[in-house]
Amino acid sequence: MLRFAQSSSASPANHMDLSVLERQRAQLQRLYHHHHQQSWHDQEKDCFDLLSVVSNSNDSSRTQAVVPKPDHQQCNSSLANREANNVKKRKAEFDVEEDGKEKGVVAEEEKSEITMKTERENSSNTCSKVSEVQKPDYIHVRARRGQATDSHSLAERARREKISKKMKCLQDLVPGCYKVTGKAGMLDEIINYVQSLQKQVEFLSMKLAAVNPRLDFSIDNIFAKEIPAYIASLPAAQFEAANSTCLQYNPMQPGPSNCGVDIAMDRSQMLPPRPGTSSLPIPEAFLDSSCISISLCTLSRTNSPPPPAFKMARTIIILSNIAAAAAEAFFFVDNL
Amino acid sequence: MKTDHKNPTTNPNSMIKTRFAVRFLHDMKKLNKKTPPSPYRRRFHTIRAAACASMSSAVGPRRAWSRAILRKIRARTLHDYIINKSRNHRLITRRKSVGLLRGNPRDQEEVGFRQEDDLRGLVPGGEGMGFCRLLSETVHYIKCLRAQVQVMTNILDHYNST
Repeated sequence: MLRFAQSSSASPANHMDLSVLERQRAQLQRLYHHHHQQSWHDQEKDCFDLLSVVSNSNDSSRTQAVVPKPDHQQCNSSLANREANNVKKRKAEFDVEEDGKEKGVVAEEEKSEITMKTERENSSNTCSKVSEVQKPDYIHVRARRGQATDSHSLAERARREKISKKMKCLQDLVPGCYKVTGKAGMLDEIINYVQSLQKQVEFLSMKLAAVNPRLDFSIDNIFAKEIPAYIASLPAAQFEAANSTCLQYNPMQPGPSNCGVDIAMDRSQMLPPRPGTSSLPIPEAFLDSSCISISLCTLSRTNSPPPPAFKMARTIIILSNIAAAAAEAFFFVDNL
Repeated sequence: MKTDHKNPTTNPNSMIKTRFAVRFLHDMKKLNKKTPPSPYRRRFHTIRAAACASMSSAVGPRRAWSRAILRKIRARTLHDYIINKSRNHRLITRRKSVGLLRGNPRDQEEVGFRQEDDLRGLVPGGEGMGFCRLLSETVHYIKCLRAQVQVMTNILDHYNST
């Protein structure tokens, strides 16, 4: 075992350009250091022979290995025995890639197996025996030891790799998930996170329901304020002018007509609900029109000529019902 | 979380946020227009449903979970139209039992029945999917939930500041 590891560590030095082989050997070394369980001396020897064959092959970027067809019946029976203990104990990995340009040969070691790593375009399965795959399709094949080579387990393994890839994405997304290893713990974290997000939404909607009566007055200021928060670096200078006008408008309105607004709010709550009408005209009717005109005049005096779209939106906000203002704001948003 | 350095207008996350914000505020205004002095509890339920609905319509029918929510809403309105206003439990549970394709049993053994079932219960529309698909839907659902929370927090902060 050790001599295998040592000898395999020596060989990468000669073939540094074959990164694929380096990876294979690194993995092999890791695995052999960790797991010494079965006495596969003969198998190792063969495996090592094959590795040397592979390493001594040409220095193209793709690895090629020609393997004599092994004794399949023996290996199949042993594989069948080991399929039950399907743990990744040892891997003799041969990465054989096949291009359209080159003829690749699927390398199968005696006791190793071919696990299929199919590309998305390719859906064909390799058979368990050694075969010369001369299709123009792209086949990634990874041979592993101690595992079956039939198509079911290959497909299952491909699926499992997909799942682990997605779990990694989830791990990036969920905070604090990197501490936990293993699927079960990660899934627990994910479930907790989703539950907490849903509870947050519920809590926020509770707070919004409590705040809701005050919604009418500043709803359209939200658009102008929130939109720059979302769309950070819009180059439009007119948008920034619009934003400034809106921000100036906001403090101006409560200023001259503060008490009027409060009373208007009470009135609007006391009034019976009128279907189809907004509640903005009610406080407006109550508000002195002079207040609104004052605020309008000051606004128009202080600001540089705002872009026409926003000017239109502003006047509608002041004068009319909320639905039209919302439509204008949508129009504004769509124009962005 | 990684930030996108693309043009913000083409950033899908901010586009979803904008769409959601627009629809949600529109729904809230509608709510306000209808019954301004409605009781708090009813308002709360309506706002929660509006948040859910506007999120799923902002995402569109591209994702299975948004389709499931939209289906549920349409079924609920249809049910309300046909019968009196009542909860639409029956339709929803029937759909659940029909689409009850469990994932690969080996995954359940590996992961544990409980967790996969929990996840299916959490993610809308998760009943009729394989485990692999369930995970990708969960990824997208988490992203959208986060965006929703951010938007609603911004709205609340805006109210509290003014």
